[in-house]
Amino acid sequence: MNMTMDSEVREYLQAVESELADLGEEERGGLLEDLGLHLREVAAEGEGTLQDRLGPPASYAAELRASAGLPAREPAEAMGLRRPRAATRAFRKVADAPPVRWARGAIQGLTRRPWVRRVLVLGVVVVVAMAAYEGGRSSGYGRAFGQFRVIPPEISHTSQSQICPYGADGTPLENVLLFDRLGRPIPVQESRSASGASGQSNSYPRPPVTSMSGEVTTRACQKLASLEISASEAAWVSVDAIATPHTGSPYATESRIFTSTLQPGETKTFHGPRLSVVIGNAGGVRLKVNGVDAGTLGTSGQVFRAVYSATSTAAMGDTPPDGSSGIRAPRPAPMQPDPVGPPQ
Amino acid sequence: MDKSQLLKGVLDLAVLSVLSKEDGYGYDVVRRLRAAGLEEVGDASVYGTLRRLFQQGRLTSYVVPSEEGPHRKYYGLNESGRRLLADATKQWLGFTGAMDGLLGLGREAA
Repeated sequence: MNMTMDSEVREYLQAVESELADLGEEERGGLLEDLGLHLREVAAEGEGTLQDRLGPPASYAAELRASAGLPAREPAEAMGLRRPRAATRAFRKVADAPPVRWARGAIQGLTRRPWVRRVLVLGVVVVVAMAAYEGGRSSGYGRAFGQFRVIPPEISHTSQSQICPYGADGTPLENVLLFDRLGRPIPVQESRSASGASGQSNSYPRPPVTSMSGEVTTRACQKLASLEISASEAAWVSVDAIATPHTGSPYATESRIFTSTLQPGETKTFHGPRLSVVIGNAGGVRLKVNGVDAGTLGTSGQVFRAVYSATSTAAMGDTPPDGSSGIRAPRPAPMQPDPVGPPQ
Repeated sequence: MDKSQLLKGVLDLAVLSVLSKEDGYGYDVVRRLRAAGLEEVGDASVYGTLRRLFQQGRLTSYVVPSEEGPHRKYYGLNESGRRLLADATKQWLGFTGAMDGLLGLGREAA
């Protein structure tokens, strides 16, 4: 890749980045994640400059924000009209202090209206300034803003918090005591349901649930599926843990727990209530599902997908919702455009 | 007629449909949409749409390591995304059916 193309990509990237400067780091990072690579691909196609192909960086950034569902940039910032004076400069200094910056990040997630955000930040600044002043005075450090006492956010543990502890082999752990770093007990869901069962759990009160029959039981933690993948050829593997939706949410969350290429001779074992696995070389691996050998479930280079729970039998796993079997056929050839218009 | 307005309305459906056939990374999805005839679709719009659909829990994403260069981030549909595609397709058929009727375009019997 020649120098001019590299510097063109870098310039464009930086310009888009600065147009997104008002966004939180996580949002901005997510949006820009693939941008560099994308720009290089477009540039490598060699059909004009990046500006010719994609438009000016400002309009690219605006289009990106809009389609991502984010608000447009505020005009005053975009025109760079902010001229910090002494008072605003001092305000900025406090506003950049760690606890205030944390609060700003949290507030940014709360509301899109800029004036609400500013009021909230101002409120936080005042509180922090007062706390710092008091802290400074009592410890004899004077009025320096250097000392802050930040109270970490409360981990909200209600009696509905259902922490299910398991050992590395997937067996549920009983009589587990959990505490956070500060020494606050974390309630742990009992894994056996038996009214009256004591068990050493530091959750109090015990979270009982009345079942349909009126019997009071504690909600049990789920049994875990176990999936062992042994590679005889190099195989790309990804495993997600699928969680059931929160109440009120229409969709399940999938959390990536593993992505890598297994080398020949490697074996990895995974546990989870519901595991979704994608294997890039079905012929190169053997699977063991819930302790039962399932063998090799495809040919070399074939992509295999399945979802397993603790009650899955080997081979098929749960049927994916599109009704196909657990084994996906080889990928079809690249999509051809459908002919448009009436036949000639 | 402003085609960009039309496109904005259906970009979600188009992206979901492309991903339902095969997982793809950003630029790959752009190319497939253009190859299908949506020539004016903007790169940035597709990237933003992928990000938004992912945030809404409709897509899985995973990184594929590559020997030749940086890793690529692939997107695919999850159960929720497939449900959304089915609903949005139904919506599309209903809407275009109504428009065809208005315009006097009879739908040929399949």
